[in-house]
Amino acid sequence: MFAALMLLGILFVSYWLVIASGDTLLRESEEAVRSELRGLIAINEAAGPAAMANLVGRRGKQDRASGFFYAMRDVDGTISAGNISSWPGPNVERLKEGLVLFEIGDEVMPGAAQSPRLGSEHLDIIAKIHRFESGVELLVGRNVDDLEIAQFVARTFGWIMILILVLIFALSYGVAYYVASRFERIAATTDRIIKTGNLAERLPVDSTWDDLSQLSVLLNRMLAELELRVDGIKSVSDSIAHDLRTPLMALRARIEERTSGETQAALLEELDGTLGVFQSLLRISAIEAGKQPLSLAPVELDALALDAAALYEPLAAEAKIELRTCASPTTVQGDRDLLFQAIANVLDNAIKFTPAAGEVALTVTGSDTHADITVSDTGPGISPAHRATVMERFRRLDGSRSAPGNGLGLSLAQAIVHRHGGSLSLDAGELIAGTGLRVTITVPRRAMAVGD
Amino acid sequence: MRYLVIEDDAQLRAYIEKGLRESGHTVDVADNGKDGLFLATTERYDALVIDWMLPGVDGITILNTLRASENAVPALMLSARSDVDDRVRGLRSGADDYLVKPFAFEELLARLEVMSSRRATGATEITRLSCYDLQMDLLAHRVSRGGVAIDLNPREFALLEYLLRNKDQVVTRTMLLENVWDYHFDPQTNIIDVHISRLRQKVDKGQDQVLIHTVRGAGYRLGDRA
Repeated sequence: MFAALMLLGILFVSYWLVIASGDTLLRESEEAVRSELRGLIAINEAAGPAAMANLVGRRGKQDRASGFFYAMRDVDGTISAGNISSWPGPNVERLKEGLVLFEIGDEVMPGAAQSPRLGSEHLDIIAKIHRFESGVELLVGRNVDDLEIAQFVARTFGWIMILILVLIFALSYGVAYYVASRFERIAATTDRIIKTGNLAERLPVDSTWDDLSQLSVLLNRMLAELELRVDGIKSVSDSIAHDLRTPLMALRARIEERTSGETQAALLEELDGTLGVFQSLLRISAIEAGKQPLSLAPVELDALALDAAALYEPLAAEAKIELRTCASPTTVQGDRDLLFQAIANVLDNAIKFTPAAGEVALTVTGSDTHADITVSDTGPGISPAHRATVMERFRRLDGSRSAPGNGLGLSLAQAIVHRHGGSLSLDAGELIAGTGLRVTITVPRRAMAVGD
Repeated sequence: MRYLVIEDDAQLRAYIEKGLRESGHTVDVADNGKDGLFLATTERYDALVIDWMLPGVDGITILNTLRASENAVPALMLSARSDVDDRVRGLRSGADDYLVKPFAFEELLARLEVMSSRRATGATEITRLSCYDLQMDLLAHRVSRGGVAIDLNPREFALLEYLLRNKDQVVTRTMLLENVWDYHFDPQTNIIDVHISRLRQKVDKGQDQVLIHTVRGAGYRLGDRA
């Protein structure tokens, strides 16, 4: 819209310039000279040379102010009438159609009207000369100095207009760019905060005088408030965690002390299960909160994935599931133990939910910027509607309640992947059309160490 | 064995002390870092159990002080924090092992016994390991039982090697994961059990003397005693 308006402006000015620099105005003067000459010739024919000479004399006296010049030259070369005292020499500039362009001094015929432009010594004149059969020559000319001035003014005006337009264009483009880039930075920061959940981050504030900065300041205050509250919740849950650990340990000791045999084993297993859920929850929160620094190092993702597959291969074999792997060498910057945990959890899930005689496939591929780990299975899969909610904590689909595990595996994997600045996504399985699940873990080759 | 437990939580301290005594060990305790450091420098112990967070002198400082005076007594660090980074820091500052609260007593016991017995056998280079009629040649990467060769894949070999190196000691599933697989993570499934059962198929199947035993609530033990 803005650009279109600018374009229109530039077109208008260009049109103006074309008119000014072109010879439209000059042509008008030429036409005036020609018709004046035609008029005089007509009088000569109708009323004779004397009448014409009389008229030339009168016009010469009156009309120099109008910009017309006249001269009549007799056969002997003397100028008998008009308002210029000299006949153009042989070195005049010849224009088309018998027109000439020449310069005259300020000298006038005795008795002729004074030049309207005192002080200017020379005038540029275009003229046409008619030679009568009698040998008398008649010159009608017109001053084109004014034209040149008009052209000069128009041209200057045009250039100034263009300059102004260009300045306006550059200035508004700069302002628009500045505002847009600020919006972009705010959007990018907001996006990052949403993705990483790092409430400690703040929006950039450049100055304090405009609306945008005030909005940023306001949003930052909101973030600070949110951070304070989330920290409050976290410290409460941390202290709950801490306070629960000791009684749980005491309970465990008592079970070991007071019971034995099958009862003890069953009780311990149950308690350890509870402790496990507890630990996983704490771990997910710790990773999500980003409080726990990652021990970043180059990790050979393919070797890591193959290790995980080797670890889970007997489990798959026991469940009569074929576990296939295909890993191309890919190194990422990441936390080895956490990434292993993520891959192991996804593999574990796939094996758990795949029925006997099924198949689980693990692949590792890398690009310049990212590494992808996919785990596909031939299990029941997850309907597209449920895929978004499945990674919520404790979420297990109704049909799978009987499967072992506490339902935190994918949540933990997702928390780990997010912590590495990556993403975990669920799609339909690809091994058998229409069934199964494919989990894709994408991590940047250079982990951002989100939250540190 | 003689152990020193430096732990400020009275309940946990009593729990560890009692458990160790019942397992036939001698135990000294300290409820703060200063007393603990004093005992550790003046007495001889087979291993130390040190809490990370202690009033006065903390666990890391105790370890640093001991290691600076070239006291190489094995030490196990306890911490309420499960951060990977903490574990790395703990091990770097001279701890031989690291355990996150809450833990099963069997886990602590197994780790302490392995730590202190390894110290007793010394760090001499071993090329052959054996138990009953099971032989392992570490150089040739060969395993045989009663003269019959057993074909093991590298991971099974490593697993059996770890069990053999800690013969007659209880090793927990977590210890196996950390030492054989070298990953510190929390398997959602008892994946180690499946690997052990595979190993049993190759080592113990059809044999009169079972060598790989399951220790309920703790882990596994390799030995010729039931």
